[in-house]
Amino acid sequence: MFKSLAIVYRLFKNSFLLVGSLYFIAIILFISVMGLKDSYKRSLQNEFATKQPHIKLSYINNNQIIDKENREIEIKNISKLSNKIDKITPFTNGNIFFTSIGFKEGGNAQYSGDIKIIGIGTQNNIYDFLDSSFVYRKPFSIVYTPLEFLYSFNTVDNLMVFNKALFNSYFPVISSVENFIFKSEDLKYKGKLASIFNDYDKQPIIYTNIKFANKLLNNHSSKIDGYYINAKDLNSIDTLLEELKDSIDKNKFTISSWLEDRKKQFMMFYLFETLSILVVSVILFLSVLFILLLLYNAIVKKSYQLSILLTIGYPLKKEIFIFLIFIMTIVSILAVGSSYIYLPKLISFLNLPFQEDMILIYFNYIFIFGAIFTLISYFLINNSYKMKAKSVF
Amino acid sequence: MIKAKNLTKTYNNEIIFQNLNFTAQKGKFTVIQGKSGSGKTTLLNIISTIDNIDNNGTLNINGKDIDKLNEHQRAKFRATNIGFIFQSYALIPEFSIIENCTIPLTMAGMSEEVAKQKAKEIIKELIKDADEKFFDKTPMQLSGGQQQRVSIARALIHNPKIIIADEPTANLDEEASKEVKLWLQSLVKEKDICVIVVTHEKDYLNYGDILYEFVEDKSKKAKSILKEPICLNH
Repeated sequence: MFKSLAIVYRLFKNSFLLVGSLYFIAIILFISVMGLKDSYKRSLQNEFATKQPHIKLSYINNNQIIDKENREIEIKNISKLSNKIDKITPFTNGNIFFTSIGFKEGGNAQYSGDIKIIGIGTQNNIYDFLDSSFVYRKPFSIVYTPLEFLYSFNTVDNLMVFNKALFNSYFPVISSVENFIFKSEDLKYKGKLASIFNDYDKQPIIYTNIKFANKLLNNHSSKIDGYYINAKDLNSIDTLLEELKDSIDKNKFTISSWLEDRKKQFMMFYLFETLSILVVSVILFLSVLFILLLLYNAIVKKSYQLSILLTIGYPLKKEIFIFLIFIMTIVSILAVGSSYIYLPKLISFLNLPFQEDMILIYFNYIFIFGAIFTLISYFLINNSYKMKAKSVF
Repeated sequence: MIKAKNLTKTYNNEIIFQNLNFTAQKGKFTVIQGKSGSGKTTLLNIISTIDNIDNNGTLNINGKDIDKLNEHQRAKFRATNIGFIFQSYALIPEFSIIENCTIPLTMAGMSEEVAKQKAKEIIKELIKDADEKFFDKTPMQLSGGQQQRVSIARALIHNPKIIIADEPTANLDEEASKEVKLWLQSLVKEKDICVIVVTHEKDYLNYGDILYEFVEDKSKKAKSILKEPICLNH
């Protein structure tokens, strides 16, 4: 077997070296791009762990007093604008300078600087469209972020979301509830805070209820009030945005979508995804090139050499067997690669419903095609050098 | 040694020869001559077991009925019984000189070391000034004469009982050509083997023992017929 391998290698050395080195470069490129893509994906996942696709309506004039009653009326009005709305959550946010924040009383981890305060309306503010009334609704119907999940169950009064760079010694987990002290110019707060890890924002965030956020922000110039609007179907958020843009009072609200806010990150992610598909395409292209090059060599370029071997009594059975294993291996790579990379994209491009078994069916088709192709190759190679053997003389 | 009876070969509906009989004996230098396209190479392909026989023809080499062997068995038979010398030398360009020569031995299962040693000895017999550097050269780095000598070394290395050569000296100069002819002649005498040469060169009549000649079939039943063998008396 080793002698056969050596002969196959010697005869097709140039093809192996050429495609081998191209493969090597492509695979290194693939690993790099996939590594970048994965790390970026992880950072995006971390980022969106605290966010759900939503639309943000912000009051243009923040000087008006927005009390609980006003908010409930507004929520009712907004809810009538589209039947795609799932829930409307009031918010207030702004930045505040803290002179000191510490985790534990007398603890040594301290932070001074800007902190973002986000006050979110309680679950009692969720408008139930079936009952046309404000009711408490547990969040089982849609996917909730850890933040919302924790908040929904009123585990703690306040949540603090830390920035990794600033608080990387803490790395608090979602369930951790700590005693906390923070001080601003005219406020000192001491109590329990649940903190979760925030990997993306440049500053720490405190999630709290609207009442407490208002107290902290105290008519600060950065204070913005508004509503987060979630769609029933996450895929319909763009349509909902368009509907709201057409119907909302533009003198009262500015409207933006979660996607718009995160456009750059998404572009980056799509760029990595496109790059990885490109690299995979290069690898698949090289596989096809490798097969064609081997076939060209075996049928055209090296058939004379093979026919000499056959003439002097070398039947080439093992060599052809090795050759076929090569081709089938590459065909399998092509089948697996294309089934998992191109098929889902093709189905989505054709707007067809995707089913898991489609991959298996597609894989089988490609594999059967590959097996037929290999058999045809076998006959072509076999006949080619046998015909040539008669003309060696 | 080689007995072919009633050989018929048809290509593209044209009968090249019909019911041809051919015999070649050990210890004899057989020369086959004829015009281009007369069927010399076709006959060579059949007696060297590369091509199949049409209809009811039989081919017996060293007591073995070749027409009853399958393709794989025929290849094995060639590997052990026949040495080939080609007009175009048919050396594999990707292999070194020594590797080209050792193919028949390694195919037979001999270790590479022993095969290389034997190949070096036989090449040195044919090319006096061959050294280690020479063995590692590729065929393209050699002259036509040297390539043909290496090709002869490959044909002889496994001590075949039959040597089949197709225009072995067509691409060589006069001096090298004479050397090869003498060498083939001495092989027949010294090793008592069967040498069959297909050639256009009339000069071979001075070296060969038996002459077969293809001539036009005037009855038009086939393209050519093989005349009765002529014993060449020197």
